[in-house]
Amino acid sequence: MCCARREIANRRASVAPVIFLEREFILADRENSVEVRDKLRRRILFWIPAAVFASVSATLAAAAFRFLRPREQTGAARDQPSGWTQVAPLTELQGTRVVGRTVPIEQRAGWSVTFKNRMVFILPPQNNLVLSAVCPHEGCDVEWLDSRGEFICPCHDSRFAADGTLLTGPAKSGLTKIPARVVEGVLEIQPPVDAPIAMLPETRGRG
Amino acid sequence: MSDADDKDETRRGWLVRRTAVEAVLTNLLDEPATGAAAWTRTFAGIVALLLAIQLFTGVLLAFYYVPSDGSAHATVAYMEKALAGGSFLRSLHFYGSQLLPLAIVLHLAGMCWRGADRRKPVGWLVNVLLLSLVLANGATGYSLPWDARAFFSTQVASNIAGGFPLIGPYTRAWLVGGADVSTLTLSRFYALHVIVVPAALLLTVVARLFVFKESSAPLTASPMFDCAWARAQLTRNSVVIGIVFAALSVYAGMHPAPLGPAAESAPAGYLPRPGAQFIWLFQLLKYAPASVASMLALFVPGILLGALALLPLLNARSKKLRRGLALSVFASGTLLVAGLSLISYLEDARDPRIRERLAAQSRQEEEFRNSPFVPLRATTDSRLFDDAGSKGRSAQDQTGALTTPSAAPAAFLNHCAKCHGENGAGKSIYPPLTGVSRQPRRAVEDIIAIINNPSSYGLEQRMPSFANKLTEEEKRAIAIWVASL
Repeated sequence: MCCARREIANRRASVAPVIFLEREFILADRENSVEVRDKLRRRILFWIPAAVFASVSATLAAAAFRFLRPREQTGAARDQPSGWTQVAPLTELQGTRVVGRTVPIEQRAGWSVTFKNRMVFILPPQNNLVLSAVCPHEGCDVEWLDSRGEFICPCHDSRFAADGTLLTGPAKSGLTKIPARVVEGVLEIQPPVDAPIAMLPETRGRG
Repeated sequence: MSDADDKDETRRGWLVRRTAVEAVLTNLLDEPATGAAAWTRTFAGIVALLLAIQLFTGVLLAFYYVPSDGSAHATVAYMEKALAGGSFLRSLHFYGSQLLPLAIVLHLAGMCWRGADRRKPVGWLVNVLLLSLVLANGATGYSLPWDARAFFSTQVASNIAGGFPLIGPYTRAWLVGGADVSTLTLSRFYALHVIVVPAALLLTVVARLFVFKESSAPLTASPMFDCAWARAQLTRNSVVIGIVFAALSVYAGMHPAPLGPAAESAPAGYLPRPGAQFIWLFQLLKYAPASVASMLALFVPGILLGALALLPLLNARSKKLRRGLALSVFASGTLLVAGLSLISYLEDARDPRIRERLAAQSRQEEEFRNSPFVPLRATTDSRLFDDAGSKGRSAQDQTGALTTPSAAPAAFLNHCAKCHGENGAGKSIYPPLTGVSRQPRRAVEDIIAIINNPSSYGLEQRMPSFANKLTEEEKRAIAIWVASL
């Protein structure tokens, strides 16, 4: 049975030798009309694999695009607008010295919630004004120089006055003031959110 | 160089002139085939489709997956629940891994039917190797989601590895990366699943396409590529590929791949089941006494794959007889696997207790799937009150840690201390019990169950049952004390 089939194939090959010439091929010993019909057939035969390949790729690519799309990164303050974090009891905020504190800020990214320690400065003489330590220039943490009564950024020497206003650049603005309040003798702040990243919202869905 | 040559050069294109693209393509396309184009020859196309799907979806899953005890399940749950397209892609990967061995076996069956195992022994061997690698990747991938299904299949696999005479404990330790299935096991399986086995798979496929080329008959004077045949076969392959992909996508969309709650929260008495491609082996081991189960689990698949690999060597007086023999060898292996799988499903469906249990487990999986995603929360490193506050707390922690553990109950000293030590610290090969309650499925109730029947929790058989040697109160006292260590 197998041999018979091969014989047929061989015979076909001998009757119509096919010459492969780039994209066209010419069927020898055939009339023009046959050639035209075969051309059409070839064209259809080309489109079926192409269509299958395109639709499989498109389905997978669409799913991949939705799957890999960047997600919004959220900090605690954006998650809960009223999220206040305790910083220090007022008893510790007396005198004239600037007080530095690290505050853990909740960071939600995808499947994990972690806490990132962020530095803030509290200024007891100025009614417990709270300043973010992040330099508005390139994001280094500024330092408090007690001897000069200034904040100085170790990266590019931006200088800020004791109330956070800009003295000399390259920073273009003063230190960010962080909303603060006192509840039952404890200073609380609304934690700053890191550089807001405008991205697509978290979606929930299948498929 | 003549003008005509120049013109030809420009027409052939920049890339073609400078690279081996043309040679590679010609090499890829010039494999002669015997016989006519046929629908029964489309299985190779399905295998190619499924391999491509596995590679593509696998790479995507790796964008989020984190192979560690604490985060593996959370990342998979995140993909399933929170990410658009995540469930679909994971389902494609899950069902693809189970269909792939089937597609390769069907491809081999087609080759065997056409007598190609004899005519193209190298191609045949490569396909058998492909089958083994695909099975290996299915086995390692099943552990990665780290839900109860994954955890217990890992546990069972590690115990099978541990059951060999002499080398068992070493095999098990090397497989799981320590004394127990742990986060180290997960990273081992991950490395095998995403690097080692796929690299071998890709090498095999590339080698098959470009190096291990063989013609069934000696090449004729002109190795001319039969374009008409290739087009006809390509069209059939494409049609079948399209149908299989559409069916797989619809199925994956309707029946998302299973994912249960994390391994830690698995209920006592969880009934593990392997992936569909290994169900037959699971059923086979049910019939085997425990002492030979490990040998069977290694040798039966080994013998089946070995028989497949050696099939081209089969010889007989006539061509017809040889084909008949080869086909019957192939068919008997396939029947064994298919029959055992069927029996396993029937047994599960018939036994009301198992049916109940499995239904409850899939209900639990469904429930978990429909619950909202809860991100993995790191414990707060809250150094809120840098000076006084933290000092107070750490002093408290220290006193907590310094409190001496209560003395072991008398029953523990009489029955357990011989191996596990008077304070539960373990001795030589006997594992320590300290901190055991922090591992999954080691709550007080679990410890009591282990005392009653250690092998039901997949523990090594060296530990005997204490079900009748201790009273219920003694067991509970021991379990509570062990959990406090």
